[in-house]
Amino acid sequence: MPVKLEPVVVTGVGAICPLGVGVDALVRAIASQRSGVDVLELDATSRLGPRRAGRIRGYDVDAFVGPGRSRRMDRLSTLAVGAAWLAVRDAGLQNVGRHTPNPRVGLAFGSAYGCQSTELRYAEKLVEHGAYFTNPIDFPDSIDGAPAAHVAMELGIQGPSTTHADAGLSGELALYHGWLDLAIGRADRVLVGGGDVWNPLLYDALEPFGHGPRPEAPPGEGVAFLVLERADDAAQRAARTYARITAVGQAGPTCGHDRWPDDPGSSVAALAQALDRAQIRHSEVGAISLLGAGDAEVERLEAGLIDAVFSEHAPERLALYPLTGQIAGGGVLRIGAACAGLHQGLFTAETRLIAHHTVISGGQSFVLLMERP
Amino acid sequence: MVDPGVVVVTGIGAITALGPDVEALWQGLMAGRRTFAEVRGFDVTGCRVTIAAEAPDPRPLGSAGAGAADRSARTAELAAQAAEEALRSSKLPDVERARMGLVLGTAGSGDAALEAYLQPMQHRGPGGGERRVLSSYPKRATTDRVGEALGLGGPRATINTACSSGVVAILHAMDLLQTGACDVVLAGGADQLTRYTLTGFASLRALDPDPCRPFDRNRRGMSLGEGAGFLVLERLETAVGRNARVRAGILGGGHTCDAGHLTAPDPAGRGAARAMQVAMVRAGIAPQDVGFVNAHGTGTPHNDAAEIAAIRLALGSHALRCPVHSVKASIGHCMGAAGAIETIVSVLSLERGQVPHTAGIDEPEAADLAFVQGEPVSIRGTYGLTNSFGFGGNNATLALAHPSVLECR
Repeated sequence: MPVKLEPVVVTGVGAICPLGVGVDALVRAIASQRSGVDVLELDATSRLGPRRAGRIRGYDVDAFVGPGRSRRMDRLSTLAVGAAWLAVRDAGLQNVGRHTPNPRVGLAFGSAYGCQSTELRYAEKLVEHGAYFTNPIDFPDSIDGAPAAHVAMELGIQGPSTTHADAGLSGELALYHGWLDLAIGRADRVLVGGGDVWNPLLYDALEPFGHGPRPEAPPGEGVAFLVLERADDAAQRAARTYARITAVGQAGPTCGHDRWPDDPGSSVAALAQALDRAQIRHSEVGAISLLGAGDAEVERLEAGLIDAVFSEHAPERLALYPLTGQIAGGGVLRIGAACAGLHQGLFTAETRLIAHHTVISGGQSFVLLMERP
Repeated sequence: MVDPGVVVVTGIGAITALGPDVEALWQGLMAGRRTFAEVRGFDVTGCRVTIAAEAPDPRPLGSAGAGAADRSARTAELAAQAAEEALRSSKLPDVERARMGLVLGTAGSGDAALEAYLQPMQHRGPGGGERRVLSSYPKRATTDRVGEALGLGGPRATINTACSSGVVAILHAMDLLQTGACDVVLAGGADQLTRYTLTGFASLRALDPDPCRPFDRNRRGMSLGEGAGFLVLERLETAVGRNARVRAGILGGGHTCDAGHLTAPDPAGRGAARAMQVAMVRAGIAPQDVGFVNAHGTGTPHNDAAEIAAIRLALGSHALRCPVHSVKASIGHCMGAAGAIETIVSVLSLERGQVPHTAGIDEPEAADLAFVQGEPVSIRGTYGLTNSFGFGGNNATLALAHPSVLECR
């Protein structure tokens, strides 16, 4: 018989981004609208001159990764381990680590581009010097699954472990995958994470294909993790609950992946599907988390979504990327910000339900509904 | 009483070094063909290992890809060809494609594009790369190209758990079906052979300079391959409702992580055994019900030893009787495509009542286990397991059943 996707709760948020390290720094920056985007001087490999971007500062990897181990890890992996530890500590979980492995804890991670720095370093050596001079340590650390593997090793996660590489939907689909692992019964708790780090060479080169940041939309970087649990399990251990995730909706794609849809139809359909599954009316959506970060195509679609669905009431809006820069796999960071914001007063007391929206080129849209617990 | 939510296979498609379709794959395996030869697709100068199992050139995707010349779109082309065969064999009406989900497992898609981008920079300096080829770099681009080529309009997902990607993609598709998110999903894996992966595995000393010999006592490593495999998956109720031919049932899956080492498996095989055990529990079967194990069987000393340990742990005394085989001895390790291709072989084994032998075994590592060597064997039983293990200690197992079993559940 069909397996019901029961609501789950978020009990921990770990975030590392241009707004700081940790969920409290994230929420404070959003509350004060402090931007983490600054002018950066790029190296000679970039086609563009100095440009604005959001870079992570002040992250002490040694505080999270054991001595010596971080040297071999791609930067994305070091950030993933740090964000995962922050989420676990925020959730108040004990007995977590490489010496206390748990086969009932799962992991799902999403990144649009993965371990770019290590991948680029390996490929450049291969192309410049030939096969004999490649570094055997770089190869396994360049694969997309490396961040999840390192998180699993550092935190003793022996349940299902998955990595999604779905462009701007990577984080969202990782969260969905973790939720499915809970629903199917493969795990009792899942750490869902996502993020990307900025590599000027590749981001600039990918810009013509709609994957990199537009010149008017500065790039950013960041990694976040959430702890997802069943509500009963969280209640049993008296965990603080940020939000209840109640439904998901997906629609599209509606056009070729190298362009944006002409209309917000897939976004409207994804929202409608989520609301229908949660048995909620659109008038109950108190806030909407949007992508918009200066990207004209995305802003057109999101404005169209709001016009189509919320003509009678205006939900509060949360947009993280104007403060951090656009992070391709930043969905989990955005969702974490919304969940923490519900708990820490970013929204009015009347707002009980937030809709998280993402759309990627090609038109595949994703909506997640989060409720105040 | 049949559980209408059971996931079944109604279409299969594959392209491997044995040939451009599923029948070529099966006939080649049954004949014990080995397809390893000097790599032709790119320059292997300086590579420690120069042999692999290359697939025949797939049909180009037309203007959607960069073309065959720089190989940057090859993974998408391999995937689209296998996926098309799967869709044709499912006999689903074309109108169903508009809502069909797509889940692709891939490990190295994009590596060829990155190399092609960097090559001109040797001569032109920084910023001189050919940006055009990078359209194939993001792994999601491969998924989208396949979806667009086949007119699939449902949700898409791209999974990279390295060498277990294909099976994890199938597991994710099963979740989408069992929670009602989709009614039909095309799931599978695809990967092309690249200098990046060939040199990468060689740098880890994981490759045999000669054709691999999985489970042989004197094995020295893997041999790489390339290809794609796709399955059309539906809930039983949907398949029965349209009088589809059910090829097999996928009754359960297990997915675990060793969490021990980035590249080496747990030598005791505990995580892999748990994946097999969970798959059997979810399928409602006991070890003695398992008719065969389609092993991950790469041919590396550590992987095969760990998998043997896992099989013993999971199957207990039945391990001594249960046929175990590896198709990598014929088509090499197809990385993200491996698990999907091997699941297709398991479907065929159940359908045809036979398990191919593992080419290259002269002296089996564990003489007491029932490795299939020399010639194919007939299956006793109606269930089979397919194992797929990846970097990071990622372990994934599927439990499959002959369609006749579904009438009794």
